[in-house]
Amino acid sequence: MAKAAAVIVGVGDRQGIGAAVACLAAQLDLHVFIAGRTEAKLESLMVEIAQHGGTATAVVLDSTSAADIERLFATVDKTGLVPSLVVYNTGRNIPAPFLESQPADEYGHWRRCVYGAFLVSQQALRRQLAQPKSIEHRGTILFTGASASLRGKPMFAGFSAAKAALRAMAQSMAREFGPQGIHVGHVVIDGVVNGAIVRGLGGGMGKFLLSGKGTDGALIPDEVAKQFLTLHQQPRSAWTHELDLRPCKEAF
Amino acid sequence: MTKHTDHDSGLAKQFFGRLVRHRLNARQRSRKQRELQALNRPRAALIVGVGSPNGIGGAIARRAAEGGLHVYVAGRTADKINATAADIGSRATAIVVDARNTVSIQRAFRQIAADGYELDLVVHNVGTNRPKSFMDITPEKLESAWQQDTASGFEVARQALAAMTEQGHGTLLFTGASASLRGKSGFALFAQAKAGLRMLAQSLAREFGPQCIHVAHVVIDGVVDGDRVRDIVPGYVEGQGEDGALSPAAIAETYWQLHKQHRSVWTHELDLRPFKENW
Repeated sequence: MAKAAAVIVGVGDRQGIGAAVACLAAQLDLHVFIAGRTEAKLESLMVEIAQHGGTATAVVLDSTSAADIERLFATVDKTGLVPSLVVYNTGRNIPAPFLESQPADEYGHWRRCVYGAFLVSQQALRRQLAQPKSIEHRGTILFTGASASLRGKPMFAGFSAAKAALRAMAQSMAREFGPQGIHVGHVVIDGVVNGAIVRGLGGGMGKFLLSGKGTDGALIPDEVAKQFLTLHQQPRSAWTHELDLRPCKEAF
Repeated sequence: MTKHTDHDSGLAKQFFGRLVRHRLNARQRSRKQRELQALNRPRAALIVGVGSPNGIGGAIARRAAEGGLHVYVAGRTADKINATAADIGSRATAIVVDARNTVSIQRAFRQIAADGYELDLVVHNVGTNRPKSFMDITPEKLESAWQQDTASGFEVARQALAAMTEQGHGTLLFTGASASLRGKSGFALFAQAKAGLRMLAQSLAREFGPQCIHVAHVVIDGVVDGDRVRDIVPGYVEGQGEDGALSPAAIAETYWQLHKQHRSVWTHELDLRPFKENW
């Protein structure tokens, strides 16, 4: 049988959830399609995956563009591989006092978190559902959620609304497509991720956020990735739809 | 340190900039608050999302008018809201508002301010529940559901809270649904919009509660005995048996009680369902 493929949308710096999931999937013998906005980041990830004996294809795209997502899956089709694992991992957590927030900000959150996820899901489902019904587990679609998926905190109205919308969509998909052999999962990242985005925040904010957390007080991307892949490998008699992940000392 | 793209590096700067602007504006608002209080203006309610008098919006408008507020009845269809306003009487004014259009929402708030009213109560009661299997949803439908049900909530809230923070009080209520809490099979379109709206309400309640503005979300978990259901699915309400569908007047009474709650005992989320609903 041909090697199966993983499609990871929302891959950036190696120190991030998307890239960590891609690396781990490649080690598990999946051909990995890594999709993100920044070509340089994808290229260095390609090098790392190849060094560990994996195979990958990089696709530079904007996850909120229907044409780009179509192009991504057309690239998958050209290889003849079935995207058995699809991960949608985008979203930008930007707080803003509500009265200073603009419709364009809120729309942007929704485009990144929900609209892009919808585009990717439909493309993925079309291919996964096209496989013979005799295959018990026809595919996995995983979404990255956040604390804001479950709880609207002050200054996070736009981000929370978008993440909660994604969660509701994922839940509806899980109920609709579970019986058809598609595993839809939603992973709630309930804490600060010890990755490049937070570390790189200007104005001393990144340092402040991470140093306040102490050792293992922020989620380590490679560890998060293991949880994603565990979900993908679950047997269908015991599927998790929602999984929350947080550091041991996180208050919640 | 790794190199970052523009959208990453500008975030902290953008955040701090807004925080500073917010502080400055808050100072202005508290000055304005004293001026406004001195005016002792008459009080009004705005209900966004009103159709016929026999729906949730219409019933809330009637209840608010009975409670002594002047009521602005806002909806898309002029004929319907005019009839609803006429039904309520001299305490009601109809305004055509298209929830999909931010300018249309802003115009309503400007009119109320120009009429010289203090805005005690604003209700966002917008949403259309149509089941659709996931693969049949088009990107355009997904976006228009968000624009109509959720983005309208953002704009109504933005305008309402700008007025209420200047007044130093007010109540902002959102109508939710079963789908606000749960994405059922075939309801991805509606659930994403309603879950988004719920989180908006929650975030606002936490941000504006301390400023004496009561934000609450009402989960309507059942079929409403209104004109919409009676028109679309004839016989459905009757099939639910006596009081098996939510009565708009009874819902409206609960909205009014939320508005009247003492601020030492505020409800943020409340669910409503008929006694015999299976849930």
